[in-house]
Amino acid sequence: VQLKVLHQSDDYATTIRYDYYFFQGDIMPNYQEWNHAIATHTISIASSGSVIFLNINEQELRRIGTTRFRRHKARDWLEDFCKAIRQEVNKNNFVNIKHLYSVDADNRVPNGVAFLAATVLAAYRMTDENDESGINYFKRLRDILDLQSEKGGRPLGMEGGQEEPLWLAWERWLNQQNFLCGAKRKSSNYISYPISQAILRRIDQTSLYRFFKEKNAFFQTTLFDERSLLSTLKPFRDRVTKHLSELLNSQLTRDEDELGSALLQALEDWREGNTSGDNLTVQRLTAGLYRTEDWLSGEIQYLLHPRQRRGISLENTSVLIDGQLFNLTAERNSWCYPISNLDSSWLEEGFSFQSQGNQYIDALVLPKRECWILVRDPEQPESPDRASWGQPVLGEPFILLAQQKHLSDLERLKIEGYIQWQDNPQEVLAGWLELKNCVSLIQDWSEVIVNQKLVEALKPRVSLGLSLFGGLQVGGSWISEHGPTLTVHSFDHELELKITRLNQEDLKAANTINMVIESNKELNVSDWKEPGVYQIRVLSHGQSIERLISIKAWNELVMAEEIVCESLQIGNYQIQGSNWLEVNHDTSKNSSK
Amino acid sequence: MTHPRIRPNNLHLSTAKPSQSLSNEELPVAAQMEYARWFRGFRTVANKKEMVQAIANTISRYQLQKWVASLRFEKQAQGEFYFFIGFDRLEFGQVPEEIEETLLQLRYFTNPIEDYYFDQLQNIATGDLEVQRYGQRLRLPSLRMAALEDPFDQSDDTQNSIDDTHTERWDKLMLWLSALGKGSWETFQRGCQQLQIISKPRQVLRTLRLLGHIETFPDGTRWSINPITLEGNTEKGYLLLGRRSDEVLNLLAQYGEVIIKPMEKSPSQVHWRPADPNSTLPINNLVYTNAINTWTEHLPSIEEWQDYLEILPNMDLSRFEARIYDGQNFIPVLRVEESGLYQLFMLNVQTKFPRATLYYDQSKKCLYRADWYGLRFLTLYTREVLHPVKYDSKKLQLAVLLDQRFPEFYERLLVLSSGKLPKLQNDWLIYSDISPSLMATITKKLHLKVERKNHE
Repeated sequence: VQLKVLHQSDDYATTIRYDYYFFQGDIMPNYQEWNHAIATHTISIASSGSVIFLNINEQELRRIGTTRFRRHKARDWLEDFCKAIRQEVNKNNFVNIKHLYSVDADNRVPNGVAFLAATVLAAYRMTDENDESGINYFKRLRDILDLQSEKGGRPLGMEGGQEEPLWLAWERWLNQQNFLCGAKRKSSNYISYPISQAILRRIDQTSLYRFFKEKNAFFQTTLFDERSLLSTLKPFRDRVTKHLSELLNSQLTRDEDELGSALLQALEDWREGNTSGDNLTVQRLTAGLYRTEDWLSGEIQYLLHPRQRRGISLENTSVLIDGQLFNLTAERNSWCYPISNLDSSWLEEGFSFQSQGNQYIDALVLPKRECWILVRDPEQPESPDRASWGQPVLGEPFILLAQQKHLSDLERLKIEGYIQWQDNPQEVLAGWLELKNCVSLIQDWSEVIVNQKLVEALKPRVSLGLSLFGGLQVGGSWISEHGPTLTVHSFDHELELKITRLNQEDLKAANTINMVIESNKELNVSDWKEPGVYQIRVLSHGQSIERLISIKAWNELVMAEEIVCESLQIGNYQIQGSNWLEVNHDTSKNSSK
Repeated sequence: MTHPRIRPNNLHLSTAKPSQSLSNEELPVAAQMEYARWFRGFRTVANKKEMVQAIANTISRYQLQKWVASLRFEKQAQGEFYFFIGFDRLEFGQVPEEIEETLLQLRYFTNPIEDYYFDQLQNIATGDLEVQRYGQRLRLPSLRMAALEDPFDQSDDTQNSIDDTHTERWDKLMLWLSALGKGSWETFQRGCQQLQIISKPRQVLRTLRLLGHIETFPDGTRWSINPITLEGNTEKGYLLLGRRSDEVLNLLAQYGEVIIKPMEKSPSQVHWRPADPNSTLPINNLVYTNAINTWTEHLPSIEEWQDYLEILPNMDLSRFEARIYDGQNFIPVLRVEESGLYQLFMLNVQTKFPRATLYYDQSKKCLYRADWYGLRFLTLYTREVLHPVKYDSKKLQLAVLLDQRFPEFYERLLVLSSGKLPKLQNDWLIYSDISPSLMATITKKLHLKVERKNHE
């Protein structure tokens, strides 16, 4: 007997729900349940417009099983998953996947996601670095699908890339949710799809563990987040596998979030002695910085800004900071509400705060960084608040919070024209300077001889940047006739812009506008009247940048889910609209925003 | 010298002014004398004793006695009043720099009214005007009382001319805010501009707070939409407050009768009457309230309300140029020391907009932050210049003078009583559906006198 329980609705679409499945006895989840669970897990905390990777490995499947399916008896989730896949597609050693080309009528998730996850699992298990023919990959896939055949290579039923429509359906579905798909085919090699999704394969992890062990004390004790670990490992790319080395050397910023997350997971597995991936490693949340400025007094306040991790519910999770418990509350996909004022002493070496109430999390970590880059809120760009939401878009000013010792380097960069900023640097936290309206101006930083971590943080990673501003934004979408203006930042003067409106049903191009535009200039390029997904592509000298814009009709708007509401405080009471609430002093001190 | 000729409509002073076009014969007698005494009138709100002292000190300090001969007050001057400074040995209307840059820089001299010959003042003043005595009062009508007309006169009511397009914009704004849930002040401004709502975003925000749809952080920098709330009772029905969507409206329609009334300069009012009072609506986190009952039970007095206001400690006032509210205008002051409402302008920032408007309480040495109208009300209350409100018990209407609008917290209760914003009529705000008990409670808490409409 199984019972599907609606737990909460997610922002990404009205039709997709985040469900828990309750099972009793030994009944295992079927293919459809895995399919839905994997799809929703994969995009669960992703920011609108971000690139999604179907980065499935053994531990990830165990995490999905544990967090998405609730049952009385402990199961081997990995085994359950493989059984469900086999039952669905293995028809007498023939891989029957054509029926998975469709979309689930109930939840509109493409039916092939779980099968694709199995192919990524096979890529994860590959042991051969150079598997051009795919022999190594297909051997792993055959094992997972339990295909009893002595013949290697592509299994029956998958000839000529018959799995490709599944990848295309996955991409369409992601685009409909306003995400970009990280799965791409290289030439005619269909196995490049799953290989591109297995960010860290088992052999990559093994090479990383070896490297961590060599620098044991450093990696055991240093407090990292995704980005700081990535930049720490970059100079050591010759010490790891070729695949990982290429990733570390990649100029593609879109892969960096996923790579950073996978690297951090590998570090935590190694620290916990869970290198086999047989167990679920207790994880740490990482925190960024959130900056507000009192418009009246001019007082600048820095807060801790916890980041969510995929597959971890924050229910009942709190963090102990200076003897005070702070509840963690999801504010949006990826991020929690900011908590607790920042103490500058935490910045120097990073800081780890103990967490409570969640068996899958043991700490909140503020990483050690040489400098912090604070950018505008991607969802509410007019807001004066700044936070470490991500890398700055090329050409968009940011606030740089840097250790005082780097001032001479920064001034040198300014004199040489690499960066610029406004006003005098201001010491806002002991030993830390704030530089406002900072912009990186030069693309090539190879000649720069200053602190390499500063260079890594400040140099532009791309030669094109696309800023969207204005309009009426909701989440990552805009409302019909109230779309954004575009600014393309580039080192080139003229650029090609292509805007394609995609059909809502099949996401095929409905109409396309091509134009030549001027860089670094705000443009009104469309009336954004028709609801749907618009693909924006900018090209310049072989470089390109792509972004999806979702335009919603008024009647598609959905009310925001529960949020922390502001209130008017009158003595011991709080007023919300017409509601007169007695203040609960135990909870009122928690979330600060 | 040039100065604005501000002149209230109800001030019954002679309008004859000296003019180059008048022949000598046409001029008042006094004007025909060379450099006869003349007066310049001003309007202000101040403590008279302090004011006389400050003026006397300045005259003495800058040795202005040779020109400044007299100071006169409006008869029964209290709160906001007129006063007149008399000059000797000066050409009519011509004030030397020595006076302009010293005496007239005091805050009391910010609102000049008119220049008058001695004869003109004499005509206005009933009884003798003893020129040599300081502090003589003139008989002038009170500034406030002459403005009073029947607030319940509905002959000029234009409330029914609803601009449907405008209402639709407000409704779209509500849908958008409900979808966003929360945001910054800047985001809110953008929404109002995008939807081309004509009212200023600050007014829009205030309107939505008054109607119970939205709350803001005390400094106004962030807002959040309130949970779905049904305000009222089964007998009268309920008003839908807070977040809304087509889905919610459809659900309400399934469980009762929904009446959507377009409103002027606010979102449509959604009134719901349940088909079955015992039915449970399938809406998560739905809040039922009955504000009139709950609020009146806990309603604080104006003094308690002041105690609940946010105090801004450690404000570095040296960063600002201050202007104090004199009952009509904000006038520059050297420092924040007297109790009252102040506008603070950032030094060295060229703007006509103040950075903040705050209330300073001299006795408590505290700066308070709250809604603008609330702080103005507090100023008027502490200066004891509040006028009675009017109540029509038959129509259940309460009239409050526009320029002594209640603090937003109290006004919200009045608005929630009907779900409608007040109508503006002849400088009065008319609140409807105000029961006698609500009127009694709120006026008692605000220490306001009530004038009742006599229907006989």
